[in-house]
Amino acid sequence: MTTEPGYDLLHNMSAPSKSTVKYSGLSSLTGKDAQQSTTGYHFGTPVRFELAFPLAGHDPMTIMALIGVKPGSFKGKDSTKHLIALIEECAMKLPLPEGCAAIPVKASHKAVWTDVLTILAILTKSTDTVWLRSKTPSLASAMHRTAVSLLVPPCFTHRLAEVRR
Amino acid sequence: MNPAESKSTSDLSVPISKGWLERIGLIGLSSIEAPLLAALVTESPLLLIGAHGTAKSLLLTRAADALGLAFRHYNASLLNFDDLVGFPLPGKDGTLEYVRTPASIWGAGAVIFDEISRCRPDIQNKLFPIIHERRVQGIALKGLRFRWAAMNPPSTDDDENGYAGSEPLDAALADRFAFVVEMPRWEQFTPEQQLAIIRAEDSPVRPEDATYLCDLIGRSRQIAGTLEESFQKEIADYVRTVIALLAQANIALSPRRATFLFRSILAVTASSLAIDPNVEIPEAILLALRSGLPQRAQGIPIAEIKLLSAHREAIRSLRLTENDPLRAILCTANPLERFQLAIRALKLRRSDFSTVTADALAQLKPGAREAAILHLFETGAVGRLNAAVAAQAGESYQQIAMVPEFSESLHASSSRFAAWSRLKDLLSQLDPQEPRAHLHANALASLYARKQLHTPVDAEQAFLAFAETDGLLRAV
Repeated sequence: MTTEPGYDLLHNMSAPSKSTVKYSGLSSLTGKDAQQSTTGYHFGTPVRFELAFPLAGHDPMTIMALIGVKPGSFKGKDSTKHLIALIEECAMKLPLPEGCAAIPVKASHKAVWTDVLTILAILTKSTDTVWLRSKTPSLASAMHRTAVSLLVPPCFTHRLAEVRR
Repeated sequence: MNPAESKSTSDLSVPISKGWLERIGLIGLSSIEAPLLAALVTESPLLLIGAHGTAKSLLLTRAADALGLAFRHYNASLLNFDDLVGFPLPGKDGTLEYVRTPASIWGAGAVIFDEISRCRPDIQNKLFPIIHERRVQGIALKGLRFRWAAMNPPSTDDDENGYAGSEPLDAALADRFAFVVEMPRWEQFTPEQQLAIIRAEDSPVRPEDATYLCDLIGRSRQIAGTLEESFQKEIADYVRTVIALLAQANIALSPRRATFLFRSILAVTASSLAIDPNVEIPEAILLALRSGLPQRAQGIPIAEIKLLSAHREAIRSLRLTENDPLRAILCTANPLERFQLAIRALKLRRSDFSTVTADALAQLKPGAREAAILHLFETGAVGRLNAAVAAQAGESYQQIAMVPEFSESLHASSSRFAAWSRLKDLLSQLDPQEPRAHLHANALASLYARKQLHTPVDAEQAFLAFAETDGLLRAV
């Protein structure tokens, strides 16, 4: 099929013109450079909580062995309940605000805590968007993911510095 | 007559009525019996709203008959002021007297203004003092106890089948009626009631039924007195709370209405108890609330769900202790103030904090809502929310704390493009050296990406709302 010269041009002329609007941060609009943040966030400090290996397939007994709990120490007790109690106890002690935003994990986020129990206290009490200290721990959610990053607001970041020390 | 036919007729007959309305010949109105009785108990102005042929005029005429009142029935759509007061005549001492006619208002115990919504505005203005103060031209109408009116539902722009001549009542006139009661419609009657209405005969009110009504009024007054002595504070607290909660749902009521509601709740509850001692008090209070909203006369629809939830919350607040912070929060109409009070009230139960926060966030304007969500996370208050509300807030917060990148191709002539152009202008004024400016920009960009800003005005309002709310919350 042949087209006459200029046909495409005429077709384009009949369509209203379009413009692209885009946003990739305030600096892209102002044209001025922002004060560079090392974390990529202008608000708060991201902290990564990541298990070295997935827990899928592990039963509470095995998980407790990973934490370092000796089997004899909870003899006669329900192992799941015992694990939940340990997670709750750990969560209560964490120097974090009562609730924190959960954000997509990046390798650049610092991992302040590396012990399995603390990471479980975060993973089991997180939704896709938020971590809540008071949330009932869900072991199932720890089975499905191995990492979560929390964005700690500026007025709580001094607590992180104390942990690092 | 065929025996089978005879049997079916007797089956369909209405059982011996115990309600005062059925006794005076009004069938199927038991749902509004208590508020109508309360209007008689308090002698407060009553407005009936209903479709044509729903027995509004009949009801008022029969009530006046039963109470043995000298009453005047005016068709307000045809009314001239002379019809009301008679003809003016200069007196010997220079005063103005009125030549009274059998139809003039002087000496009436009850007055009925029928078709009040079809009345000329100048006549409506002259009805104000009669309805509210029992005065005409400044002269007290001695002996006038009952002021009643009736109208068809006001026509609205959306209602194609409405009453063309029935105009929404002026807000000030509507607010003069303590009771605004909607008449039940034909389809709300049971088949037995419909048949009884079809076969009804117009017979005079029997003396024993009139006595029954007078006794019922007397009994209701006694109960109302006892209720006022015992529950005055609780009812006043309920009125205060329910008015604030209705205001939160954009149903604004005047201070006069607060007074009316206090009186009508006492009277409707007392009347309900006089009619049926087993009545549930919260149900009686809801009935009083439902019968005391002037918006119905103004053609403003009131969603039953809003009314019900305000009522339930106000009833619940009565069970709270004097110092419970939820009391103060429920009585605050401004959503941002409620949010701030809830943040400060650390003793608030998790479920209450979550409900108050979710409601406040839903009512805050775009921009203000994002600033409030930011505040929740900055202060750690998000940890006091239940998981569902916190997760929802977290979703919005992610868009503010992280850059909500987007790219969209738009026609340059579209209003969405114009909204972006204005937003871009506004955001360009922010200083990128200020960390807060990035949150401001991200919040507005995420609103735009979620298609919540449609016009340049939307963009301006949201920009200002964020700045104002963020400033306010950070100052605290």
